[in-house]
Amino acid sequence: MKGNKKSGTVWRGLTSITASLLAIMVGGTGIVNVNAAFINSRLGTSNYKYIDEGDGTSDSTYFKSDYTSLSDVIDAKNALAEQIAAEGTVLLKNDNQALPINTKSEKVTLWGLNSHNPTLGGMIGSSTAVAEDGQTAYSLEAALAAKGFDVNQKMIDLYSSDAVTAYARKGGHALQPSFGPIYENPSAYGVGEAPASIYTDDVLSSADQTAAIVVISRDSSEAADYNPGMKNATEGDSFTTPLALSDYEKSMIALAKKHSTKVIVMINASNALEIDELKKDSEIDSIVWVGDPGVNGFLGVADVLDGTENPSGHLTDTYAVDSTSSPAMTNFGVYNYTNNSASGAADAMNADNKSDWFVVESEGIYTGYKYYETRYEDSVLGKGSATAADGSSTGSAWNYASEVSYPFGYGISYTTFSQQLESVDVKVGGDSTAKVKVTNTGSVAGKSAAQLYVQVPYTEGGLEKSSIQLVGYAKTDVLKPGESAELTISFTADLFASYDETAVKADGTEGAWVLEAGDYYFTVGNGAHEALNNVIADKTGSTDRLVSTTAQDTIDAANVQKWNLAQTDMETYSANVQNQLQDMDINKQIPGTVEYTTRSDWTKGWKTIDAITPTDDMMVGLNNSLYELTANGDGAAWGVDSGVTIFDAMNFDDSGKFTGVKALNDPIWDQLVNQMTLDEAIQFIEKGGDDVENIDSIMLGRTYANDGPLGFTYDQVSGYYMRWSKSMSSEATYVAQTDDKADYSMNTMPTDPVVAATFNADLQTQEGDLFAEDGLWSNESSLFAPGMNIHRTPYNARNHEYYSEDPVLTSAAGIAVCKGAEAKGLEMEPKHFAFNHQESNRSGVSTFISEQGARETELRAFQGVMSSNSCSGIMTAFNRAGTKFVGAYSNLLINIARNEWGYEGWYNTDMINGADYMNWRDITAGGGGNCLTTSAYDTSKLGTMAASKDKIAKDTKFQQMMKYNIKFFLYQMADSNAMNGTTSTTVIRHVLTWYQILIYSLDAVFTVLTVLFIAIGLKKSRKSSIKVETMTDQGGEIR
Amino acid sequence: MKEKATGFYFTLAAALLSIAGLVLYPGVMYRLTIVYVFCAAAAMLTLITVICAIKGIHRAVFGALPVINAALMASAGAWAVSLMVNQIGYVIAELDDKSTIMGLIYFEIAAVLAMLLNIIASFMKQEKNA
Repeated sequence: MKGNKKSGTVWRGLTSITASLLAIMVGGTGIVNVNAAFINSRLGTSNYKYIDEGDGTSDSTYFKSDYTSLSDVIDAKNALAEQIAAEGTVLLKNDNQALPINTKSEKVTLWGLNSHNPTLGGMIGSSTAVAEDGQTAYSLEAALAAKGFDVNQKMIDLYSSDAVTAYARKGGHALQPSFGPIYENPSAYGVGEAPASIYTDDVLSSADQTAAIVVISRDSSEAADYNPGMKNATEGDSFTTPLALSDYEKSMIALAKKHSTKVIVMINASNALEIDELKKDSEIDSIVWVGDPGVNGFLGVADVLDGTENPSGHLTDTYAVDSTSSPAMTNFGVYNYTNNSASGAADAMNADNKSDWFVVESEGIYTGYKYYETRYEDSVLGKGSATAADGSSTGSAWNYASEVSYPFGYGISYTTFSQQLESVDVKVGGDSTAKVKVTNTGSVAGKSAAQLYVQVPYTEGGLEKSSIQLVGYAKTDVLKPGESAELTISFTADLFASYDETAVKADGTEGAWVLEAGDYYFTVGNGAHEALNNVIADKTGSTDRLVSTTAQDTIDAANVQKWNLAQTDMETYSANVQNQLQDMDINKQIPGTVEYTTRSDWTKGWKTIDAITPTDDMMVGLNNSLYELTANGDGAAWGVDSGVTIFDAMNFDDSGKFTGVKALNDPIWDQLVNQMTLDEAIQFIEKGGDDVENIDSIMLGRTYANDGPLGFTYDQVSGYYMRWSKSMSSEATYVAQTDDKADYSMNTMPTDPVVAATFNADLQTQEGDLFAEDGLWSNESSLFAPGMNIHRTPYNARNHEYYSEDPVLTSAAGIAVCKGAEAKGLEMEPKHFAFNHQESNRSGVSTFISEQGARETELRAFQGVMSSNSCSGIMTAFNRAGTKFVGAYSNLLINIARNEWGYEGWYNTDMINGADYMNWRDITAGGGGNCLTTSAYDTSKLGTMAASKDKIAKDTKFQQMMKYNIKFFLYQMADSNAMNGTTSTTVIRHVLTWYQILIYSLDAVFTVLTVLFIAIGLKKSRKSSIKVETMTDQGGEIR
Repeated sequence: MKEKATGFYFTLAAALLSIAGLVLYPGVMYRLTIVYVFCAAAAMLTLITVICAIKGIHRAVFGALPVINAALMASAGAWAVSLMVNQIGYVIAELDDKSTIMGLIYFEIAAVLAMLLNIIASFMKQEKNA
């Protein structure tokens, strides 16, 4: 009896265990399946495979690799990365010919703890992790050793010792990225330098007869910013701002000056630092900027240091004396609305009901050098109260010499060059050219970049104009001493047209791109400042009062070409143009809120806008409800079988060679979209993810996309083999997991500022080409790159992912990279469109800017690559444009990009990090594409798109927008490497991965065991009951 | 109640933890209604059973109670994670503060303990004379 009872509880206990495990497995199975795309991307598994039901004889490799092995691709990439880093290195100062270093006779000492922990790239999207086995991320120490430098080991040992580890940045980083909201500016940053007390006499004496290479470093990261109010987190150290030299750095430099034969300062940062004291210090012989050079870049830097390469890079940002002195810094950081409670202004803000953020870009068009140089000209000419103390970094009368250390575009060489602007041929509405004769006037062979600038006519008090603008550039090959070359710089006049919000065109619409009548001054120069000096000298006939930034500057009035426009033109570049961004101007929402920077009065524009109470109109955007689903129209057709596949949209010549895709207005694109089911369309939009799910109805397999500007990021893709399945092993670029380089990292290029600093379109195009090779060899079809936002201030810690403060340089570099990649089938997706100018509270920050400022700076950076359709896609930004999520802002996405520029690519959002404001409904209605998420909408107030299918099916207008957006995606996808391996007879078969088979098996096992244990338990219980009844019948007693 | 065995008190303790789960779950960043249902069901079943026991209505369900409750709390724990996967990823990648998942951790502790107590209880008698 007792035995039976005990047995019953055992079976019940076992039932409890298996039932609980079954419950966990059922929940876990759901989690796994929802996240299967992500898991597959990590495990290199796939839920589908292609099957060719034809005879298998057709050539389905439409985009071919130029390499026969993965090893060759990697070698080519490493070599190019090294070359880019070498040409992107910028020599700022070189007194006493301290550089190059003679590695045969000179020994070097690396100074600064950050020489041991340099920053190679960023964190998250531009991280520089590499495979542990076989791949090298070259630190400065490793690169110098590889290039044969004799480096002082005692200093390296000191920096490697436990005694100083506590001061060091971990892996070259001290920024702390955060995806969550913050309500205070970031407060601390650890420079990672050590106090002078760590240097023993023995170490110091070891440096005495060596050349000092002093590394000053600041790191970079996505989802982080610097802030002028930060304190130094390194114990005992301090600074005035995080971009200024810290006390420990200064004391370290003092020791280096005392204990060396020469001092070379290396700037390892993507954010312009305050280095004026180094520039003016006669004991500092050389300053060289290397940016964040990536895992191979220090090899190229070493080539510059030893003279193997002659530096030819130029600054992509202004190096200001005071990093906070530009008007853009007046409004940078964390500012909250006074009240944007969805329940109304009467509902007070509190700890649980906090307001959102905004930033007012009060500088208008005066970003970077356009502020410093324009104010400089006005200060020389005595206009606009330019010498007033307002905005002066010294607190007294503003003067250029006290404001700028090194101007935008500056960079010197081991040799000297003369550049003569021989002619300029401007064709409004056509292609313009300038011819520049470049001569190597020194004694060392080298390359020279010619930068073409223009000054457009300005009327005091009229339309805001920068006094100098870059319009194009070109670079020579290596010129031997005495050798000359003629460069042709191509440009278009729209690059220096001004946007006039008040202009009324012939068709009566308001807003136009304007070329005002008057003289246009073209010139070349070693940077914007030298160019402007040429122009001012030509205009005034005098060099009096002109300021040179360095002794190497020249002022040559004769090097100016004047072009006259007789009549103001506001039509040529204004087709389909009218004001679209008026609601981004806070003064149009709440009159008088901001006083914009204006060259008519430089005392204006310095007021911080730290409090805004949104109006009812603004709350429409802030409430994340730009569109409501309604029942309207006659419905939309889905699942209409036309018997076409995406393959049918491809064109082939008589020999069977792929020649491109059918035009966007061809009916096949509508046929393809209509053939999709509504479920597929919903899946495409809300499950964009890093990968896009199959669209079986049109035979489009899963396609893969990933970050970032340095190449496909290692933490997301983790090697070449990850996106391949064995069913694709017949493809020429297939990489098996057993390949010895299968798990190599692909993100091995230098960061974008270094790429731009080369001023070399050929190198930039080659970078794109090798990105595309990685796409072919890793089975990836799309790269979220390049970053094309403007460096609005030096304080955005994500500046390393963007090229420059200048939109024309950004545009040109972006176009070159994208063209290189797209030619070989990799779909490039420049990011973050648009106005992503700070990472603090990037999720949902409202960006306010004047329409002129927006169009002439940020949008000009994107316009070239989008209007030329050099990219297949665009990633939208996290921020709002005004109060509306920018990824749902139809004025920008459709009215400007598509209707004005003729953009034919698709959009996808950045990662959904704020599922309520980045909601699928507003995105779709606003002309966005797909949403980079896998399950974020599960937690949103709106819920998932799939859950709203019935409501969607009743909203014809909404469904038409779904189709409109998807069509661009299909149009681009058909013209990409994603089609490799697909033929007219290809079909897609769904399969389960090994881990899905495993979990389904476990589900089954636990189900069977649970049922079994229940049955046994019940049986035992029944037997027990029968025995009890029997015993009771026989007079027994229960105990 | 005097005839209740040790297993019953384990079941009761597990039910209290289920109630604790109900209290803790609102502190989880992203929530599912079904999780409330699982926790509430576990607590309610215990409550009803206890009332029945006090009134001497029926004792047959006593044996099944910890089994059902264990499965309910296991389900609650699993489903509570489903909406928090992304957030856990952010915290692991040091992209968001650990405090954003602490609510989930507290809830999971309650749910797992409730499940374990129920499993232990299911190996025991619920009534001395059963």
